[in-house]
Amino acid sequence: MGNKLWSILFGVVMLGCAIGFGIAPWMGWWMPTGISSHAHDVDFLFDIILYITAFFFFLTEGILVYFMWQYTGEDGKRPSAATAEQPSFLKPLAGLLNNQHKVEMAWTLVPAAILIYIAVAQVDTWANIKYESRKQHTESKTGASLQVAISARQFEWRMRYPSVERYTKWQKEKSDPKWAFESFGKVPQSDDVYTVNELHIYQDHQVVIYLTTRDVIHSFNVPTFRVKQDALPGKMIPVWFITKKDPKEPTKPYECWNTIWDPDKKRYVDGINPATGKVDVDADGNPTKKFIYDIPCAELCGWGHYRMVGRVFVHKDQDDFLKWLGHAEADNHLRTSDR
Amino acid sequence: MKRSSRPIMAALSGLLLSLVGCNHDQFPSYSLSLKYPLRQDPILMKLPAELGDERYDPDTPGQFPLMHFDDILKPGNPLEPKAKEIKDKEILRDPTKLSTKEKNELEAALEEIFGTPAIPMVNAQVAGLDAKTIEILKIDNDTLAKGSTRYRVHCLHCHGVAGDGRGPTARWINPHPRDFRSGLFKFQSVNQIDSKPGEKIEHKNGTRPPARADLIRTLRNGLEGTAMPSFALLEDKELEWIVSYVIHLSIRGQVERDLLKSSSFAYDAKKDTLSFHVDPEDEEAPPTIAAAVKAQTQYTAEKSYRALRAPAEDRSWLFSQKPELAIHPEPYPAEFADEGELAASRLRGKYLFTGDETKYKGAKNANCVSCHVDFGRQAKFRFDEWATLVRPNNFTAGTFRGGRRPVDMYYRIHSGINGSGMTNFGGALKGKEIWDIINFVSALPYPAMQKQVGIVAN
Repeated sequence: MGNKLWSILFGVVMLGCAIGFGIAPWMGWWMPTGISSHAHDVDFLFDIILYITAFFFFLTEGILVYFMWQYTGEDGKRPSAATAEQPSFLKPLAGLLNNQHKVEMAWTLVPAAILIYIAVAQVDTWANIKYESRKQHTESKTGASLQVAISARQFEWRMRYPSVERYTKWQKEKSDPKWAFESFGKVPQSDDVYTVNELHIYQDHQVVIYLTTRDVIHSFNVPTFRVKQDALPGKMIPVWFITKKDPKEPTKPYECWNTIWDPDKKRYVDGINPATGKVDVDADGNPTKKFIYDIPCAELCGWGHYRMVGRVFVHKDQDDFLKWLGHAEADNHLRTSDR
Repeated sequence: MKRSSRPIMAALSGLLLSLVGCNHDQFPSYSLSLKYPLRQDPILMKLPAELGDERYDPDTPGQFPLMHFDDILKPGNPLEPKAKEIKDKEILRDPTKLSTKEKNELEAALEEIFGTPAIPMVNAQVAGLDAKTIEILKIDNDTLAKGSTRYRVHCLHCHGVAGDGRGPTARWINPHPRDFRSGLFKFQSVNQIDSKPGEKIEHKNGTRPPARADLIRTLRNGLEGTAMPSFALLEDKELEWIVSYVIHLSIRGQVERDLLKSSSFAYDAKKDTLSFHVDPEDEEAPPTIAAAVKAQTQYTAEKSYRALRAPAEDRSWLFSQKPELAIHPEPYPAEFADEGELAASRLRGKYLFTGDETKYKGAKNANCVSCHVDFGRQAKFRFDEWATLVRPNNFTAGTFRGGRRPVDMYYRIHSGINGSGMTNFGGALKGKEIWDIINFVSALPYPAMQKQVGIVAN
């Protein structure tokens, strides 16, 4: 019996995986609802690859566990092919599995076909996420995109925004190339607005982030938006997305804002449930993290990697965003005592 | 089960247990047996300038100029060429030269008032402090206990158990993490010049501790260009607790440092020992180490009670919390809204910065360029009050450690940056002149504006 231990262990692990897989959606272990323009495509690819790998995992793991159980050796004895007894249901297959060119072709070609399918299926998504952002954003469908320069550093995100005046000017002069990459991303201006660890954007509007790092490699990761991009030293990498839409029903309007002005704290707070307009709470009345959109660094960047987390504040509309930007700008250019 | 598989099974079950997750306390406290270590590193007795000339190179990564007194004898240490002078003139004082008996006495006296990392306190009864002091500084036992656990998780690895700025990661970070034990904090809004309105103090280097609001601001925003990150995502009350604990560490360190530095301790060069000493001519001199610690605690936390003999100036933590001691900048001149006036202001700022008397009368009062050589582009490293190497800011780089808001710059020009060598100009300059300098400096990081103010672009 003792020698069956390993097959039992592997079987338990497989069973654990299957149970985990099954109950994940109800335990809140699944990815948060994606709320950006990329979410639908990324989730589609993620699901396909997950189901393919899950299928093969359970297939091969099942066979492994079965054979380990069936052909358990005895202490001190070498198992030999002659003494191994084939299970009865495999007997018809015995001739098929031994030295068969066609079968070998099949298990080469089927995975190859799957890989080629994945490679082709992801082309559009990849191009949309990675190359779209490199265009001059004169063609944005949502008006002049909101541009934010984010500079990663051990162990925080520092954001730089255009001033209210400049941003509203961009919105009016849609064809003005000055608000493109060259004028904002690369060259800081004296009226820029700086924040730390707080990325403010608004719904249904294109955001372009110019990502840089001041020291080591970091990775800008917003799981809720299905956005992830490494920040490499010496490079400025554009990242774009639009927050909107329930990925399951892309045509239906979907509220995904999560921040309002808190008159007590005298600043914007996030974690707001757009359906109620209040901080989202669970059945016991404790605040949940459902509407808190973290920006965890996704590249091990040093001892403080664990605490390199920012937050995304999604405003309801442009007016609310500009109201915040106005507050931030006034604070950034404060000329009276702050005490 | 085979014997060889037992450890594997044990490890696996351990792993499974950890996945299931026991309810760990997220902020465990220190071990009860841990004590605050007595100060080991040398104390700077004189002005940092005595430590040596300016230099172009910072200290090498992994090096802390002064972990132990003997470090100055090591080749490659920036202080090594001056080792003999440092010893002869007693520029540095080595606290490890105390006898074991006196060390124990000092440790016991400090522990009686300040407790241990697991049970931190500022014992008002023992130290003879007013209850109001504890309330205003928010250093009651409950707050400190909470602050201690947060400090252990978020701050300790850089700032150290005793707030000495010598945690495990500290030596690899440049600028090195702040050592709280001198009570000097660089970025703050406390007026370092006036004691009462109209009554100026005649010195250039501020020594007043910061207000709580200043420490909160630093925690929330981090210090750009240093390794101090933003802690904005912690809850407001957690930031308050941490600040309370930092004040506790700072007062403890200050008491220890100032006492060892004071005339209550004397260094005997022949025997190479440091010992407690009661000045027979001083009637108020504390007779024991415990009494001296008590008096010093009152002085540091509450008032110019005695010790150090500087009654004209109150540099206690309590005094710094007074709202009337906050710097209130002179109103920003309304005419600067006009582009032409703003350009003129920037130009005046430039003359003040460069100390150009021919263009602007009284420009020598500012003369920023004497330290910020070439607008900081060629500034040299020099020693600060913590005996680490620092450099005046390069304004063309666009990094402002103490904050980039104009009001932050006003605070720094008005009252200086404590401990760094940046002196205060609030007495020598008028409010409008400070705004001129700020307008000029704010233009320096931007190449297009560099041309406007007529300096050679980067």
